[in-house]
Amino acid sequence: MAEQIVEAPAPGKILKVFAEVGKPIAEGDRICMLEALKMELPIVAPVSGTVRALPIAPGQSVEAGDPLAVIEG
Amino acid sequence: MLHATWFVLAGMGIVFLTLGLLVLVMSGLNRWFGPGPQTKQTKKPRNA
Amino acid sequence: MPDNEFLGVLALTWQAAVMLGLGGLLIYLGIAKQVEPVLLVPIGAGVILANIPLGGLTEPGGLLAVLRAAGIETELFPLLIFIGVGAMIDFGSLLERPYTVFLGAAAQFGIFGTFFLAYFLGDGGLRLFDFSFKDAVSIGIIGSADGPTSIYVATVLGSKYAASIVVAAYSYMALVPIIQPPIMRALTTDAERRLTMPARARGVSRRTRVLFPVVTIVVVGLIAPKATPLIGTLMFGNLLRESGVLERLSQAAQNEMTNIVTILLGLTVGGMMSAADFLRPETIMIYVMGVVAFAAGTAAGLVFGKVMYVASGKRINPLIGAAGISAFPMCARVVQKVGLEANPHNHLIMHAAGANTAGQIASVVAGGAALALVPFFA
Repeated sequence: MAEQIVEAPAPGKILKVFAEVGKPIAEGDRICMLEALKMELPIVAPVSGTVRALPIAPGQSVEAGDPLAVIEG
Repeated sequence: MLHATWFVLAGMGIVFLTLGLLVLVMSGLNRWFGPGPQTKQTKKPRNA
Repeated sequence: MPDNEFLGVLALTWQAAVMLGLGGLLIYLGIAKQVEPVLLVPIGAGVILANIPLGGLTEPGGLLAVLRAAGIETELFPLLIFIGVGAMIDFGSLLERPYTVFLGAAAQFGIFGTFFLAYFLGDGGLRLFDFSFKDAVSIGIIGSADGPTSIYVATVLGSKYAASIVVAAYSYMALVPIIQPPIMRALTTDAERRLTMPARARGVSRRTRVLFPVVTIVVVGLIAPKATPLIGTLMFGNLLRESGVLERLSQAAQNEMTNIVTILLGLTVGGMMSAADFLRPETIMIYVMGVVAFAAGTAAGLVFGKVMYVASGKRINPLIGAAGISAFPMCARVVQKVGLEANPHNHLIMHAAGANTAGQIASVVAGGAALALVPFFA
């Protein structure tokens, strides 16, 4: 079972979190919405699987490369 | 129009020359003053 | 006192009436269509004020004439704006990726390519339009996609089209999301657009951020001294931002000073648009050239991006080259959008922001280079 870490593509703020820990997620499903440079970036799942970790909450600031979710596929 | 061509070439030449130097300067700054352990950066490289 | 000194309506020529309509149009575009309202509304108001017959605002001693002499002919307003712009820009994304500087450099071909075309249509070749060498350079500067640089270069060169050039530069900046995407799709393949780039960057130390503006002033100033007023004010503003101890001054530069100067600058530029200067075929051509300038800059950035794509072993997405023209942050957003369209995992925004801020520096250098070279060629 491969675990895939989804990283923040840019420094910014988490606006919304769509995924839930423990729930299955399909490739292309939205994990969260990140705001960077006043733009909303939809972060989608790179693989199908189960969300194992989700260390983010709405309003939280992240740096580029910070983990947003861990998906076990 | 020949002198206009030279103008274009000289102009782009100055732009690339100046910015090329700036790249060297930036690389130098990053190298000498890059994020070390005591800087404000919160994130540590993975191998640290 | 003669009648026509009393009733403005009797002195109203059709040309002045057209200009009043134009001023109204700019105000409408700014308010109803939200096209760069911060600039177009003051400019539109300035056009109306300047073209009211017998109003006297552009006569010697009138408000608009005084502002023009004090702020535009001295180049004071664009330079003050640049202090604010410098305080607003975060060069971090550029410092993390120094190579993006070259994309900003390449995109400046929009300036020189457009100059070439304008000069060819004017005094240099076909003589279809009244474009001298200096006018052609000023028109090319629209391709810097940078309002203050456009004003600065056009006024230093003394172009009679300065006002139109500035209005064109600002209007096209609002149209970047329309002008760029078709060019980006035409010049790149789907596989290139899909290419993702690593999010993680090394990070930049505070010392680097503080030293960068100072070193840039010295490096650019020593090579292209004519760019010193522009790069100097831009980087001074950035130093206020990055110093970490001048938060108050940085905020004042970004907000109060920029806002006040923007009001004065917009009004004055609008006031420079008199019917005699504006209602001529050259004005339409300047607007056409503006599109050419933005398109050529975008294309040159993309082509250089493709060179980097190949040279880097397919690790650099050529789309970020389109952000080399300095309309910030519009271009970076357009790149992000087009990249995401091709691949839902593709977030290019930080890389594009690097190229975009590089474009800001590069357009200033290009303006300075043009000013330095004109005496040798014109």
